[in-house]
Amino acid sequence: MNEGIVVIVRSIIGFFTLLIFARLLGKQQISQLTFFDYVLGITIGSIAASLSVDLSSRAWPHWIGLATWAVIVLGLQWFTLKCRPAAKYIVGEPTIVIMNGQIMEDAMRNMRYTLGDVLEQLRDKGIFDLNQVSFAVVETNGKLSVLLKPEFLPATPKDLNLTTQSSGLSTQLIYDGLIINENLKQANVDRLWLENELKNKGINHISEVFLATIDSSGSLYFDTYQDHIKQS
Amino acid sequence: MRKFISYLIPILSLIIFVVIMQGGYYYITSWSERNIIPEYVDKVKTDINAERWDKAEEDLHQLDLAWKKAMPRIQYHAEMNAIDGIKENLARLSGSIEAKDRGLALAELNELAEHWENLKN
Repeated sequence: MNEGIVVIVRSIIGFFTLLIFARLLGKQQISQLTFFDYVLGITIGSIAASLSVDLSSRAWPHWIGLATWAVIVLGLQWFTLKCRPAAKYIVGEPTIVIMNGQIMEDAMRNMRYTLGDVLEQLRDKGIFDLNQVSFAVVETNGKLSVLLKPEFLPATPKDLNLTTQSSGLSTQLIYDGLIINENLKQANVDRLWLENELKNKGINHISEVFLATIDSSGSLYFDTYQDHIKQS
Repeated sequence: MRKFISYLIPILSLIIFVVIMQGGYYYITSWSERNIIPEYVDKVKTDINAERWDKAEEDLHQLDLAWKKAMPRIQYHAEMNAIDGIKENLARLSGSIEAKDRGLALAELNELAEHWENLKN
């Protein structure tokens, strides 16, 4: 038995199985994970690690364990999506800890959440004065969402009666010195137009460009490989 | 077509992984001519019971060769302890046949057969 080769093959199996299952389980980011999701991730990762290097047991049971955990998570995700009471029961609900500027002590006690935790998360959001807070909600992932009192909310262009233009999403036209033809079509521009635009900006060849994007208003942003940063 | 391929690749990968991990199981449980280990175990046992030690040594050599051929096929399926167990049984069996120790040889052979059976689990 060549242990090295067996470990390599088992690692490849573990790695790609994990990749496939992770893609299957969705796009939640670490910051959005609840505590249970976090523990779940560690458990699945630990099973994958055993599958990879624990030669004292067969790969198959580990793989089945990995698949079972992934399927259960997938099943729960589907169930919570379809059944709202189940979602409340399984995932939990956001809890209001400050309402109309009043601290909800009972709610905090039920969650084993201290005033220090609330103040720390408020400071993390740049709020140092409790007088500014209208509502604060602890989300199911443990993050604090805060609504400031109207007088402390930042002014928006609407408040100032300013007209704004929607910039929309930008589309990449050049990446790493190569034109993305699909995106050119999508943005309703052609290669000639792009080359002319770049020439006007003093760029003679596309290969000099690291990134070029176009927004919905047709304005072009580009970045060349050559950076001209003035040394102070 | 692109969507079909994007689904096909992971499904195909998972199927290949299952085949790699479980291929050894089908080899062990198959009755094909390639799987001759149980046959040689029986042969060596008969030789030992009849105390034909030269023949037993010859058949043990064949059993050893068959095991060396089987090992690469089952190594992704089997656990290391079972594989090591069979290796140790073969080594001790060789010694006990050389010493013409019938009791020890049969014990090793039975353990080897048990290890082989356990690979099916």
